[in-house]
Amino acid sequence: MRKLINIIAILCLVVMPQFVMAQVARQNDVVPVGIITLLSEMKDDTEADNKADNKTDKALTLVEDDEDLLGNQLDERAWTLATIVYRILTAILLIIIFLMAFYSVRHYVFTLNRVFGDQRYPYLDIDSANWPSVTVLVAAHNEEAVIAGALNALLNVDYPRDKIRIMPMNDRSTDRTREIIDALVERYPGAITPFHRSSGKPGKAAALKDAMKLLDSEIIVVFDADYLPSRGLVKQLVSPFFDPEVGATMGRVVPQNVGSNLLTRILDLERSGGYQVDQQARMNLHLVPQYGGTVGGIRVNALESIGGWRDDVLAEDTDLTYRLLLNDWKVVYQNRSECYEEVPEVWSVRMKQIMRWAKGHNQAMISHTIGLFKKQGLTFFEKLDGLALLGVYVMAPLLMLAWVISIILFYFTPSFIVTTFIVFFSFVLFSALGNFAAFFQMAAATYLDGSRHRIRLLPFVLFGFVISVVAISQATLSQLLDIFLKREMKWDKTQRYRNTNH
Amino acid sequence: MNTKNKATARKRKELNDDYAKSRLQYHQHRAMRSYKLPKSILIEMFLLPMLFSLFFFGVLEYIANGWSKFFDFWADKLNLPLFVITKVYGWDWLAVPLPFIEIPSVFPSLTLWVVILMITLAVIVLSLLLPAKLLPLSYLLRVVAFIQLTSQAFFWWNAESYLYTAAGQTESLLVFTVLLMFLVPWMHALTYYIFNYSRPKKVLFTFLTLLMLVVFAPFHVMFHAYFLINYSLLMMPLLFFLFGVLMPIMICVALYGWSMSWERAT
Amino acid sequence: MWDIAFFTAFFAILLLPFTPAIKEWLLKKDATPLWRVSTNDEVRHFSDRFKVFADKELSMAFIKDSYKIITPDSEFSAARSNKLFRVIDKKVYVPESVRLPDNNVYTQEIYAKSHVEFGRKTKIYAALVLGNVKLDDECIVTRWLQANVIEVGESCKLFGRVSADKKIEIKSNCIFSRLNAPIIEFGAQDNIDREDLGITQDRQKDISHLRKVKCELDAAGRCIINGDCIIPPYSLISCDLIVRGSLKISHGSLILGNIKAYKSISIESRVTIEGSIVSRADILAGDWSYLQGPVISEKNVKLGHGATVGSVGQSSTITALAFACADNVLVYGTINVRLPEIDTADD
Repeated sequence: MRKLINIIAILCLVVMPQFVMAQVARQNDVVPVGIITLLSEMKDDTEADNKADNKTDKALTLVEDDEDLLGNQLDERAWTLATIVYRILTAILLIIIFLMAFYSVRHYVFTLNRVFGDQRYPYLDIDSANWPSVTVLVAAHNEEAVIAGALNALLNVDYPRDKIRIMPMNDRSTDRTREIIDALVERYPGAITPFHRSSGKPGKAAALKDAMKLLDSEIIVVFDADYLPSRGLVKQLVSPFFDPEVGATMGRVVPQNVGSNLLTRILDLERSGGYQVDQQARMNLHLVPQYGGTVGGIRVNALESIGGWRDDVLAEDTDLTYRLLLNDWKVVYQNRSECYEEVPEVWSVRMKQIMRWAKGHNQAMISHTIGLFKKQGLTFFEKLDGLALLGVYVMAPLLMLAWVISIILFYFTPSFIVTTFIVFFSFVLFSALGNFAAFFQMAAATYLDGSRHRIRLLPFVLFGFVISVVAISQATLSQLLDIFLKREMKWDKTQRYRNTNH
Repeated sequence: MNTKNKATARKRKELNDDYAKSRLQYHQHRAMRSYKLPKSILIEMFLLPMLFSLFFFGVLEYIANGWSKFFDFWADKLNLPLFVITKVYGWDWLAVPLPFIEIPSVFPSLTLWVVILMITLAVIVLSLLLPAKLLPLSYLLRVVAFIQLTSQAFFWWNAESYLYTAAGQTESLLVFTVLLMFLVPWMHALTYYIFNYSRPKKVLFTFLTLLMLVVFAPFHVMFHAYFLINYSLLMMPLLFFLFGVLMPIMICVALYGWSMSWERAT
Repeated sequence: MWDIAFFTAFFAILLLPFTPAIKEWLLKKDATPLWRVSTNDEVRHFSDRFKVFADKELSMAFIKDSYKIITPDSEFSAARSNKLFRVIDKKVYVPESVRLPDNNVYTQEIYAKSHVEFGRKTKIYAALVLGNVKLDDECIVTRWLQANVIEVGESCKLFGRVSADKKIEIKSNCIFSRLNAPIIEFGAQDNIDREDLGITQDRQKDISHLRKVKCELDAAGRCIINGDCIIPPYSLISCDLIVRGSLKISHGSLILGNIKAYKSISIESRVTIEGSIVSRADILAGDWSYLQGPVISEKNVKLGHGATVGSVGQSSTITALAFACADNVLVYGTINVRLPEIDTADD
């Protein structure tokens, strides 16, 4: 049965665009029946206009004067070539529209599920148990502004004292981070085990890899230095590990500096949609919630069984999600486990952040797509969602490509112009309406959060989209150059904004 | 037996409701919150858009009349060489008359071509000079400039083979806006009516959106006509890609954001 | 001139729908981070907070008047009650042991320094009792109840959080949502020592009669089975077990690891599971089974006669959509359920 579903899905994914392409190739047939009357009238008018204005429509002339061309081999070849190019471009455009439609439907289904479906939080209510030992790792690279806040909050969490260890991971900071950590270690003896790192490969993944050598706990929970965990957070993030299939857990990230400017407010809406709706829906539907690198826990045993941290990847979180999935581990999303973080306040910083995510995500896509296809033991929808998640950053350059193709087709279409007009009108219409599913997701998230006025900023989210599309496309291009020129990837640190006067 | 089952089911439902209410205080944290989709809303989701579509279909003729007058008025005031024809779209009884403005397709003169190129280059320079906090605007300006540059290049290279007429552009814009208007109530059904807003609010939202589009559509068409006549077909790609159907859609999004901020029914 | 008028009108109309967005951007009406939810998930959060608050209030003479003080001699005690339905609309302070009358409704918190017995059909908003509590049949607790020992009569409804320092005893036909105590007893208790039956967590016990099941382990030492799985009687499994189907553990088996099934888990009698039990569907535990837990089910948990969850030394949690059990069931720790009773319509 599962195989049958797989075959049908593959047919849908591969054959459908082909089918649509074939339909387009037949030119008129692609136009919806209801518009045929309109089109025929438009065609008549166009012909009438041509006569009246004595303005020759080259494309129509080519079609009508087909017989005149028969004698001219050169023109015929050029015509055939142009037709082939046109068909290829139209097919690419339609495939992109199809993919965008798929993502839109996915957004819509997720949102409906989150708003009206049964919510899954099976591990949340675990209260009394033999809690496993935990090390809380706090990644810190020049974090003097925020590190004290994070450590103080962690000292106050609800978890058996003898089972928890707090380890700030000071990765070659050049500011006062070390000094602040040491002062806290002295103030709370035995509660904090610092790990000052002064050599080795830079980057969070490399730092985590080194820190792992010092650990003896069953679970690690990773926070960024700007997170302020609530009292119950560690227990909530650890509770899913009573399930032997769970390899990692992920909590909800809530922006702390929402009110700073328009960018932080847009990011607040995007994060709400991404966590409150998207991640929870994937949890509800038994799909692939994503481990996000911070506000999450990892089972050490699972990590070791999949080969530990990789410091050669840019998005160790996405990479880890897929390595876990491909080794029969699940990631659990706990929407209740909220943690407040800072979001970028400057567009250029935001662009760098997205570029890093995009590169890392694309890297994961290259590494894991085939493995995911082949993997036994996953449901069809898990695979589909896994693939959709891997491909999510490819959609931005594809969208750009689609715009470029539609511009090309706009000028150089060798066939029936109204059909072409409809094709890229549908693209323009769809690229706007398709986004509506994302807008809907954010609106639903704020509805669930009980927020009201912030959703009014919805039209400004378009700015965020523009930046994302540009940044991701740039990142993809630069990644191709990285591969071509064999350049080494860099770890860009996200800038912090909290006041240093803690 | 059936009555007994029904009674048991009712009793169970009452108990579950009591129980759910008592748990609200602990489990109605935003993370666990979800809603029911009662039958009444499902019916509403079908009936309201249907009524709106019928209503819109019914008044479209009057709206089209209004648009015709609007076009006549502004054609006169803006001194644009256009005349309005009413065309019937659709099938027999499902036919809708829409005003169509007949405007000449003006090809750019060399001077105009150079002037617009200069403006486009100025836009690129401006996009580079804008402060970092206006980065999205810089990119939008570059997109505008890019599309305009493709147009400049095409008209320089092969203006005669340009495929579209100005009249066709304005006509298709109006047709697509009208199609969008028919689509709006159904989009609202799927994205707004499902939430717990009072019925008057739902009706008001759709009505306001349609009203906004009805008012905006002729302005939008005239805006296109103005540029196509005064600044030639050279402006058409830009108008089509960025200032076409995207504009009414952004209006819908803005109104959607606003309506989602309205007070919810208890 | 008309050109300016046209473009002014055009941009005014275009900007009109964006006014709420621009207004919100500039005025920042809703620009604070999502509020931090102050409610705490700890089971005794409300009772602990109330104790601090009540002790402070009662020490201040002028606020003391806001409490209804009930002693064995006062008109609100069972001894002097005329058994009429009565609503007590004030906070109640009970300084000494007392039995309260039937049918009363307490709409605010009760603070008792000693033992309290509530009469039949009493409705309690919340109560903090430093001694023991006895709820007669058909009582309702709407928010929380904390005491030393809680004895619950038949057909009571315990909404909200109910916790005891020592023990909670629950008779048949009760519903509840969250219970926490070192020992929770369900139904009539047999006077049979579980240790005599070998049903406690005892790593030294004789396992020579068990057959060790050979499992194919993955890199992390787990055994993953695609499809349904039946473990034969008297089996010994020492690894974590993941079954992508339903799981049946036959009589007398011992599982030392954690188990998970995508479908239901059916545990026959006298089975011991020393790890956690996780299922996306029902978990049905047979008579005299022992589960260390936590027991995590996305549907229902049913425990048979004499079943035990958790142990004296290590408390545990049952979390499920709904819960049902036979008599003589012991749970050490916490039970969390989301529905008052198991919906038999699905069966």
